[in-house]
Amino acid sequence: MKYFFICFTFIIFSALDLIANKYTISGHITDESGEELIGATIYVKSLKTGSTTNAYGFYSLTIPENDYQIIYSYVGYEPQVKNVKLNQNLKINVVLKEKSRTLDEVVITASRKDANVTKAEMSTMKIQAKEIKKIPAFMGEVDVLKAIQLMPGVQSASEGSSGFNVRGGSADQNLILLDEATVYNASHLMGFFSVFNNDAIKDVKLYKGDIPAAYGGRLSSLLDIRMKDGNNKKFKANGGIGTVSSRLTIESPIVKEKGSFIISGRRSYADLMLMFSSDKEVRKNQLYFYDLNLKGNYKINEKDRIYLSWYMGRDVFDYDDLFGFSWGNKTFTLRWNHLFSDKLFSNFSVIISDYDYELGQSSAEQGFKWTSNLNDIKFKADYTYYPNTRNTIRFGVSGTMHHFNPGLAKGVGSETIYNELKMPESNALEWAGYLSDQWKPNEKIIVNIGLRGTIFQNMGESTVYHFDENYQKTDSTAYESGEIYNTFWGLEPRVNFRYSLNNHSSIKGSYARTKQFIQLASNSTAGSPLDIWVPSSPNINPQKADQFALGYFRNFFEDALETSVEAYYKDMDNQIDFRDHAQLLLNPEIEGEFRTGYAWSYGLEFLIRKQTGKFTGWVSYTLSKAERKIPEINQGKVYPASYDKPHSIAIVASYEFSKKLNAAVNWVYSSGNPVTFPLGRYEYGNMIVPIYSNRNEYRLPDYHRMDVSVTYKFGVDKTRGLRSELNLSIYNIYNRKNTWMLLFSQDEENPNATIAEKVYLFPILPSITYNFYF
Amino acid sequence: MKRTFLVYIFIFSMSFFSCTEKVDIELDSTYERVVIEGNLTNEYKNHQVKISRSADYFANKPAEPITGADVSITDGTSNFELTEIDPGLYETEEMVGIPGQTYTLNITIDDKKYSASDYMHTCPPIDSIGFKRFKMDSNYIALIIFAQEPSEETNYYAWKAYRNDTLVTDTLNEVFISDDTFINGNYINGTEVQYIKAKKDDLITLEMLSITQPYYDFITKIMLETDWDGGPFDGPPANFYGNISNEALGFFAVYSVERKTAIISEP
Repeated sequence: MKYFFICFTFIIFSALDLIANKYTISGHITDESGEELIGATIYVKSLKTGSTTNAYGFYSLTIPENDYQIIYSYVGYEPQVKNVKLNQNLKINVVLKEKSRTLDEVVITASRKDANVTKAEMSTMKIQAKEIKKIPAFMGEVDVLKAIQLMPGVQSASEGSSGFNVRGGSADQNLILLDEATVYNASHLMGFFSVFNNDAIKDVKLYKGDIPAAYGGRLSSLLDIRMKDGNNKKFKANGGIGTVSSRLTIESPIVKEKGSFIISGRRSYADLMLMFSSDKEVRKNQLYFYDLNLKGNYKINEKDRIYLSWYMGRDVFDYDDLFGFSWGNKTFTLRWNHLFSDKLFSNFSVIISDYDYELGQSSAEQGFKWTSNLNDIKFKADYTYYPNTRNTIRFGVSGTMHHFNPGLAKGVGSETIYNELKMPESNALEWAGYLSDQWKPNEKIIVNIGLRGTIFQNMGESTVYHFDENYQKTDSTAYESGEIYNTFWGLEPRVNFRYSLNNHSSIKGSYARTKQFIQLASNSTAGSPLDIWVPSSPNINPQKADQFALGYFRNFFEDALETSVEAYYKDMDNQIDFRDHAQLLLNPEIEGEFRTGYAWSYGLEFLIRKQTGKFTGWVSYTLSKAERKIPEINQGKVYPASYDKPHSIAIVASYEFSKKLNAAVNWVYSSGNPVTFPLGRYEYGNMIVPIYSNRNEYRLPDYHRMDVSVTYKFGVDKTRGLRSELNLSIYNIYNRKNTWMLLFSQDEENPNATIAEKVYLFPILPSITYNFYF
Repeated sequence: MKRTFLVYIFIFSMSFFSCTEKVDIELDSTYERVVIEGNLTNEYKNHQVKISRSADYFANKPAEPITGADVSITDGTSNFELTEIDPGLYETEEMVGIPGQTYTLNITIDDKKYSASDYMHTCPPIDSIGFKRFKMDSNYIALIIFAQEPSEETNYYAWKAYRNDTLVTDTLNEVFISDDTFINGNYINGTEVQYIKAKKDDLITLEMLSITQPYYDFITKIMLETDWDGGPFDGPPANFYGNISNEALGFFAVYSVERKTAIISEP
């Protein structure tokens, strides 16, 4: 069926090509250090059309034989104009120079200034690592995931958490990719920091709904993070020393201008953090995390390039000598770009992802050890075909094998009395194929139409439990290694369009269907590293979502000010929740704890953004609602999702006083999380036991906070040698004690009385970071 | 044991940057419920059933008893009537529960009937008990137990402790419970099952209760909604019922008891 569709497309568009002789201009656009620029623009003035570079900096443009003036640009860089006499296929590689730092040009952002109006894609937000650096950082740690949480439609799961909710979706419905490898737990330290070292990152793009057909597997968003490739012209180093961690990054060419590598490392210091605790017990603990990113690339010839990306990170926690807990991710991607022709770009990848955790009680006689891990190996082939300026066709296939080892606990030590407890292991195969076309029939309209097909299969060796209608285990079936015992499949159409009203404004709309085959069995607001990923199975149907979005985009002052308003509606099926008092830890019958039903969300997102000039930043406001209806939860009545926050505001601003001095501020506001309150009480066993309201019937107090930061640069005028900067950040500058949780308990002093206490996390927290560059 | 991990994780999670402050909050009310707390054991004594009303969350006074109820326990053949000795407190005559039997509690309050059943398991004998200084706080000692755990069925246990003939573990959150997942059929060779404040020459009695799974689940749910609540890893709070019909809260628990006594010899 797919092949028929490809042939059909070829025939139609080949026919159109017969009208005139056409030739292809293609190549790569990079910056001066050799970093490929993603989403740079190639514009042919006389034809009023053009193209953009893909994730590897490659572009291809097929236009009729003629003389042209072609403009290559990327905001923040000096544009280049090339006069081209096109009478044969041409290879034009372009190196763009960063705009020299004058007082007028400040912020460097990713795409052509009016891209938000002209590109068809909507519900996306792109941010460069350099822009992320400007946002006041929590404890001085510049963080990708914290920056994402400031965008409209995105909410932080809870204070300090790296988990985020996009348009009423749960935190496990975000596909987080680091150079195409899935990162299963992107949090360090309960989520206060993410696993992404900003120094190793080039580009981050968040798709909130309009997810391209090439991607799938999660319902609510795609966070596509690309690592830097490394300077391929000369050796460079940079790093920083901060309140929480220190970093060092080294980049260098392997063969000048043909290949390069980058190594980035970061480690936190336990002591400094624990110093903030007034509790003596806490100071006996050991707590640290580290990240190591490595990437290498090599240009074999004009048609072939290879890339190798590797990441490893870990969190370690030791309580005195009694108890230890550690967790971490590892990812590995090997990619080969191959140009079959000037018009057909392809990429082949092998990707490995691994997440594991381990905890134990290390008594010599009666110890205990509990491990869990999840790993994937994936093969992927992606093609982009640029037949003419009106069409860009993308297609590809992928196959993933998931291995789940949810939990194994056993006694260790000479006199152990503990038996072994093992949750059944299992495997799953996830196959996908997609085909999409970006069609530009005329200047005013762009349409993207795509279809993704996925197949998900459960495979042994495994044991599957069967449950009756009361969720009690009846019996179980064992499957052999390699035996496929269940198959799910689905089609996911993805469509979007952009209609230009004039040069400065447009209307965009999109529809996407997404499916998700693995979910996090998590029951708490602040996700814990002990949560496990559970695949769809004979007991759990795959999740499904349909999202509609419509938006109006308008630029002012010659594109200096971007504004947009977007409305969305999302319908979700087979959404998971857990029975009251669910037992999710080390429970082989965990599938019996799941309860599934419907969820839906809708909202309105407003954004005003200024990306150029001395003063830059954005203001975002989201008005939204997210609800669920699941039999057996809240007696089957509709209840608000735990991340339903009607109002959410973020103001992010940065001002460059001079080449040396920059200041930034951000202010966030959101409604409090929904919460279940006790309304009554009774006595049993000499204790006071609460009687609760309906689930999430009430709300915590509103949350708001302001952070500021100031950066002073030394040696700005030097072009070589050591340059450095000092950054002072203050988190929560007006010291608001935002409620993180409300606790209700018996009063220790008066056993007949109950009290309410609020738990709050971070008071005003200043931090200093010293960054240096060679 | 799973519970110990939860305790460690709780400490871990709460010990970091969080601070706590008392706040005044106004809460709404909910309709009144009947609350029943009853116990029947294999000891020859008067067994008690307490009946009270629920109240507003910030009522801040003892629970109001329900007087004049009709309370009886049956084993299927004989019926034992309970008499009200104090407001809300009903007692049997001196009697003993037999392991292997199912007992049903029947209560009538103002024409509404409530009933609950529970089964009495046997309890394995305790061979001996011992003591260890508790690592985390030296004022406490850990009571360790030596006994053979029967392997035939899944068992659930609770442990209470007496010091110099006074019950130390008198609130439910001091009672230590466990299933036999990790120890089924094994010889329990000195596992810690209780922690109390004690010193040399104290006479300590360890009491072991063999309880049913429904009662074990009920105690777990109470703990999840009281002492164990408050970590960021908790699931959402929820109401739960015991084994009593007609939407009454509480539990009628039937269990057998074994005891062992020893004197602390070392400091």
